Amino acid sequence: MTTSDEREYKLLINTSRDFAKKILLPHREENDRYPLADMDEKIMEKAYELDFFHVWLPEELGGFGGHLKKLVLILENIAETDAGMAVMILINAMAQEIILQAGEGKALADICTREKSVHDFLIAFPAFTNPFETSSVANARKKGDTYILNGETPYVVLGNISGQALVYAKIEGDDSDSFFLVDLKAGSVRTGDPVISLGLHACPVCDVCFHDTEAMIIGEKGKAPDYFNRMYGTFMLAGASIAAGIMRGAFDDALAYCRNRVQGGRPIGNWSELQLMLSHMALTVKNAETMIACLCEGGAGKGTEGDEGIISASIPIFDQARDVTSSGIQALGGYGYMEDYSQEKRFRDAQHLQSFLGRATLKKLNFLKSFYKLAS
Amino acid sequence: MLNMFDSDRLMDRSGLSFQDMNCNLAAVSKQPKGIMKEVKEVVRLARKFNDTVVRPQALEMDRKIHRDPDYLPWEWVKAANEFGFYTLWIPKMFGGKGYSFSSMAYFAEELASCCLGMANLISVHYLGLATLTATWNLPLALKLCKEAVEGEKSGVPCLFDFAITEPAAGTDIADTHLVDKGSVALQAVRVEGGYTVNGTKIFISNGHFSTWHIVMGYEDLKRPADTFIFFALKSDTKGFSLGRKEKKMGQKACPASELIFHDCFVPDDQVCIDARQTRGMSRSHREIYQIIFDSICSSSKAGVCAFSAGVARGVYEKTLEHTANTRVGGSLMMNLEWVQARLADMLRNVAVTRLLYSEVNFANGMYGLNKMLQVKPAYYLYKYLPAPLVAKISAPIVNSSLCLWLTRKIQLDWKKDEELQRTTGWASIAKFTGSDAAMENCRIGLDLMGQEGLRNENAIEKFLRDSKLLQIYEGTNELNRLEAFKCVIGRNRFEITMFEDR
Repeated sequence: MTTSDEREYKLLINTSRDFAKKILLPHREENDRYPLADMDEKIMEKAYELDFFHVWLPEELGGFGGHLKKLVLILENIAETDAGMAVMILINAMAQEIILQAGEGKALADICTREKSVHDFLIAFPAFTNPFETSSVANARKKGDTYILNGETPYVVLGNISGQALVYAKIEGDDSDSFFLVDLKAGSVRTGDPVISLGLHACPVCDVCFHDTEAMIIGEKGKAPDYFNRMYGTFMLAGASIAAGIMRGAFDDALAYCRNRVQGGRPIGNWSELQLMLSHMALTVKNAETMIACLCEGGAGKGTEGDEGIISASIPIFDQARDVTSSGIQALGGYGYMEDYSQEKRFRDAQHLQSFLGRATLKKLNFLKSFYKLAS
Repeated sequence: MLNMFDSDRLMDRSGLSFQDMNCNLAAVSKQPKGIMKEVKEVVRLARKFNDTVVRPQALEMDRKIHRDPDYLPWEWVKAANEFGFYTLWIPKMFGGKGYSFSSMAYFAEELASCCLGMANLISVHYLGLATLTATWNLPLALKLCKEAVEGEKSGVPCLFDFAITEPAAGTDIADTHLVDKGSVALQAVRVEGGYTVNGTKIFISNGHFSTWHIVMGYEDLKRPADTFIFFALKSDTKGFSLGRKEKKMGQKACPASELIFHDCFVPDDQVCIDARQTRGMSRSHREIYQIIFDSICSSSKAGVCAFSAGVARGVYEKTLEHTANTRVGGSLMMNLEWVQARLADMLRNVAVTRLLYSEVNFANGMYGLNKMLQVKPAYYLYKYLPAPLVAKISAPIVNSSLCLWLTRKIQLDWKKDEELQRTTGWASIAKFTGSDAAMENCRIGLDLMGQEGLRNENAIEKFLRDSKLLQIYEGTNELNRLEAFKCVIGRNRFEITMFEDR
């Protein structure tokens, strides 16, 4: 690693932390009430100004050119304060990556050229499912040079705040899965009310319905699984970095509380039962951070298909975040359950993240299948 | 073949007696059969209430309070009052319907299978009553219960709550060793004819709804265990005010309130128990602190376990429905072996949790707070005599000083340590096992439902948010593990020290 790289990483860390502490933190509780209350859009605009939504783009489009370590540093440091914003950045980058994998960089360039606001720039994507496990997907039929979509895509992340969405649909006739880029402002698109979800409230979600909606196919017909799988490992790790950030926040707050809270005449951090809980948390957080850092240094994120090492390291981190955030609440007792403290939010966010890119158990079963495939 | 000494010795395992491990067997012959009928009745009532009131509104209520955290769901309290739920378990001698306390857990499970917040809105009222009962101040219990009965008749609900937690003292309260080193601050200063009370209580379930607050305070903050006092304070008392309503992650329908006491006067006839009343007993005041506290918790923790069974079942049922109607990769989820195994785990959690609260019920019926009214002659006498007659006969007895002295002698002074430890130990084990099982079911449910489980409209995510509190209230699960050790594992080991780890 060169000195200039190091400087760049430090700058990214400081920028993300500053953004998290100065911009996100003061509005965290208020934004967590969305969609049952308004969201402060200025935060999203600020993230856009800071180019957080551009990081994954090729350098010629103002990004870092798919540099995983840089994305991970941003996500981890923002997620420590508010995972909602981190997931917004992640989903947008995921959609960009699929488009790039499909060789449709021009489509991204078009978005960059015509963008006037953060909304015009963002790409929505249904990231809390594995598209090839669900039975109800939209369908597409060819009409001249373009395609027409009909049907519904549920739970589209950023669906109600983005200019466009990347969705998958089955093409009539050959039943193959393909990705399509859709203009969400088109009259034939109906975006539903924001979905009220378990966590990640600051990252809006809605169902999207298509009624004879014109859409642009991304890459080749029937190649959606290939593009998805090429993106999968890299973005599982990026998602895991959010889980690691959440864990770090939960641990830091738990430790600070346990040092100050006195019960039975001594700080509860001196109770060995609680020390053991904190110790499990610390080990898990450090292990996850180390694993992610090593994988980033080791060249993860080059878009190679079937990167079992990355996936095997990433999946357990989501499980660990679920457990660490639960302990984070326990350490604070009754206070941990209250919205004024951030532990309950982290708990919900971590549980929510378990479904990132599909059901947790299915991800494990799919890993086994790819592992066998590799071995044979 | 075996002499009597051998028989006893051979029944003990790991320092635990046969009675410790088999409360159910001991209770079978002693429990009145009528309790089974009562259980069926209250379960039917709960199901009707769920169908007509709770289920149609639970998710919207959750959203409403998330939108407006200060909203108080009075309509639910009034609906429960109209169903007669705030007097169902008030003994007939106090004017209530006199259902056996043992049946309450099954009722609580039923409500919790639909909405934990609603289950708590009703159950916490009886936690207040349990505290009055645990101090055995029957004249005061009679006075307050009459108001609850009147509240049902008038349509203006009269609820009780139970206030022990303070801003700097949560775990502190649970044990005399801890409280003496702790940071309690609610002080009751003796004045002519009563006490003047100052301080704050927090996280008090139902505080904003309650007419009567059953509060724990201390005469000397440096010697809290030796000077504790329980008193009842009405919400219109001068100097009393409600502070903030907490913004909780779940169980939103049941407010967690801050109670503020500023020079509140508590007359002597509203003192449940204090050091003056325990003078002359063979047990010290601090010993009685632990007996009262443990007796209350033995009931309330059984309730938490019943809540847990309800959640575990509610999640199981939702998940079962989902897997029966969802295809993954072309296969019906319910036909996948890994799904079948997870569903079996979920049903296991429901069954084990229910068995556990039943065991605590048996223990409480045999050795705990429920014992007096579950002795067969007393049970049948109260069950079959008309309520007005019971009230007429009971009132002079209940109000007599002889009755007060005798009940306290039996329940506090002559209470056997091993019986108290049995109920407390089982209650702690049930509490942490049940709540962990409920959480496990929520996690399995979320996993099996995937993206669908994340949506509020599908209820699973609400179950998860609601359930997390089960691992916290009535003592964190961490504290309950230590309590289980103290009462069950370490009780006959004289080398054991508790809460002194460095």
